[in-house]
Amino acid sequence: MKNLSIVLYFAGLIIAIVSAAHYTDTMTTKDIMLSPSFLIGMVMSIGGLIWWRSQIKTVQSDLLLEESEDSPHILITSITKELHDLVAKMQSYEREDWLNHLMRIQDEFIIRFNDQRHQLLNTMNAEEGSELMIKFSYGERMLNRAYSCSADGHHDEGLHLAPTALKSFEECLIILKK
Amino acid sequence: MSTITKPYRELTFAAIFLGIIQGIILNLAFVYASLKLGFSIGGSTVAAIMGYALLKGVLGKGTSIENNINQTIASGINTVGTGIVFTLPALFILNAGGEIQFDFNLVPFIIAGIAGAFLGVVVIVPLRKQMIELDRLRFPSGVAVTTIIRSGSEGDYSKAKLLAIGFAISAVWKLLMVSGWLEIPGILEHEEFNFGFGFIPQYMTPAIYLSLMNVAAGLLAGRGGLSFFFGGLIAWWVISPISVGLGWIPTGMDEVAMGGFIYGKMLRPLGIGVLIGGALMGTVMCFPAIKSALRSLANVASTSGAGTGRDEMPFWVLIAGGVAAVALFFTATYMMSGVTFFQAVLVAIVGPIWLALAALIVAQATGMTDISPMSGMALITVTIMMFLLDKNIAAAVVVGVAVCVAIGQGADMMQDLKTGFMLGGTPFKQQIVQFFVTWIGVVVAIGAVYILWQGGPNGQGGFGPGTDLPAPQAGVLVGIIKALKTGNIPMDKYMAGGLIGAVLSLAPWSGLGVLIGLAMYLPFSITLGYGVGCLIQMYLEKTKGKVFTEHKLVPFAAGLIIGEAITGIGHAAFEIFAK
Repeated sequence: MKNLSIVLYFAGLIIAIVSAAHYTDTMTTKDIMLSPSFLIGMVMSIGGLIWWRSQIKTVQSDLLLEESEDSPHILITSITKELHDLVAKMQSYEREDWLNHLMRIQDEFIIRFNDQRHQLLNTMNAEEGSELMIKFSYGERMLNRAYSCSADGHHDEGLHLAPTALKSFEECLIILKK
Repeated sequence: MSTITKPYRELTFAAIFLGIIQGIILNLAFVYASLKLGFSIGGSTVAAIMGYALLKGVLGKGTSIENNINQTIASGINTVGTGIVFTLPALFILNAGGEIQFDFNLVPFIIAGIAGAFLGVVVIVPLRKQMIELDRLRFPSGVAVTTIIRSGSEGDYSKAKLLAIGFAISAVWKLLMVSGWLEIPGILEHEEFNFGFGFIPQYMTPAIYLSLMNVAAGLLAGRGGLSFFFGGLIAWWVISPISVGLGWIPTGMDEVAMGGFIYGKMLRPLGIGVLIGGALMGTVMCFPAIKSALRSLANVASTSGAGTGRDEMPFWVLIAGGVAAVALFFTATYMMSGVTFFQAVLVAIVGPIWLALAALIVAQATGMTDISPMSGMALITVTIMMFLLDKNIAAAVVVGVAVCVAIGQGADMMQDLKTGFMLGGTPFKQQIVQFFVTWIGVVVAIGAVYILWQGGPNGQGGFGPGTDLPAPQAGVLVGIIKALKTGNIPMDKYMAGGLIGAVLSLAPWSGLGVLIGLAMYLPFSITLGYGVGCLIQMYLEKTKGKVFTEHKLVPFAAGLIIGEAITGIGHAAFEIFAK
């Protein structure tokens, strides 16, 4: 059913676009906007859009309930667990181990979360979703800075940033629990 | 916990000084190159490489984020030149052609340019969170610059090797293309491969732009850029044959002329409408994010980083900068002869509103595809302003200068902020340096344009058709202004396109309106090359995995972008000195 709504939306849009593209020297805005093909196309696309949007929340709520390892809230939980582990071990880490661990968090969790984030955001209130992503991005940027610091030879300063990043991801979990 | 032994360098005198010097040199060089060749080149990659060499190589103490500050300043000052070259020379050419009377008082243009430089930053700062943190726009050039900066500091040089391989392939390819050695009339011309071979009608523009930089932008965008590709397919492989089939094209045209008619009269104006409608609705849809961003700008405590100080530009600076820029906008317009007080007030209100929207459109388009629709925005600006200013061309161009400078700034700032995000830089430090130094670029670029104009016989006519500096971009604007004087404005296409763009942006796929509008506005050869890059990325991600694309494909694609950019600059310099 979701695919059908998308087909209806895009078919309507293509009809409207083709109709709007028609050019003659005397063509006016009214001629285009009130042409039957343009109106039919717009009605089809708006109808398809409403249908499409109404199905998204249901489908994605079901996906979130599946609790797969690619589920965005499972990924945020995994990031905080990994960062707890990183903070606990960081004093004993050599620079290379530290950089590798940071890169692993990036590869295995952060990139995957960013790919899957729409699943989560579409089920949240827009403002809460924005707050979540701003907190998440702050944590991610602190990890990026930690990596740059260590790679540039300022390893000690890099270590100081991990707890800040962890705090930010924990705040994401608090927003999710709301 | 370990103690910090020395501070991590970020906003330093060396970075600011080097950024300003590089910015001025790049600005002068690219103003000249744009007047000569008709295209402009972003300076971020050059600035990042030079920054690495000088900060780390010569001073021996540069850091990644210090280099990010350097390239932010350099590209900010350099980018201003693009906005100036696109607009101001048109006025000089129109004056020389007797179309208008222009007194060569450049003060209003400098004031307007400075207003645009301020407003470009003011408008874009609150959108950083929406575009970079929420929408996660790719900003391919920003990613390329990050790869350059990172490759210099990591102990593992595997990414640097891939960057170098990509660079070499792209540089050699670009040299082959510009040399013309591979050209075959009708098949491979002007860096475009025509694969119609008599089977696909030419009005469907069966051609691909053989730019590896363009393909690389698609490689970095992947699935996110696919709707741009589909937009091109709808435009050229659906609308175009239907238009021909239904007899909408005037009779007596050959297939190439039909393609030109479809592009100029139908797709391009409709695409501009879709772009604007899409961006407007996109802004409405992103309002919660913008609200959050504004709240976090106002709330210093919640956005201060550990040891990095303030995270975002203070809200009062944005407000004060915005008010000052609007006042400058008014002053610049009112200084032009023939402009009434009421008209200047109207322009000072409408101008910044349109400027904000145009900056948003260009930043979004650049973020998704690395392509800036500046000419379309300049067209709409001059259209609106000639209407408000009773067809006063010089005054309309003053506003055009401000808008083009601002949209260039906005897109450049966002690319640099993306680099900053990926390196862990502090946005506030990037924003504040860009805010306070890019006005330098306005003075340098306008000065350069004026001096070059005086380089002609009898102290004028130094550029324009028939000279060594043909100023092709200004020639486009001259054509637009002449068309506007005759009242030839495709309002029907803009309005219908705007409505379609709005419906596209209501879809749950982010940025659909802007991407499809941009695809209709651009020649299909560009969209196709980009789409090929997207499809390759998707195939590699499916077969080799996400980690492979992030660690192997990204540095390689970054190398392709840098290789073509640097070779393009070298070729431009060669063309200028050789002829």
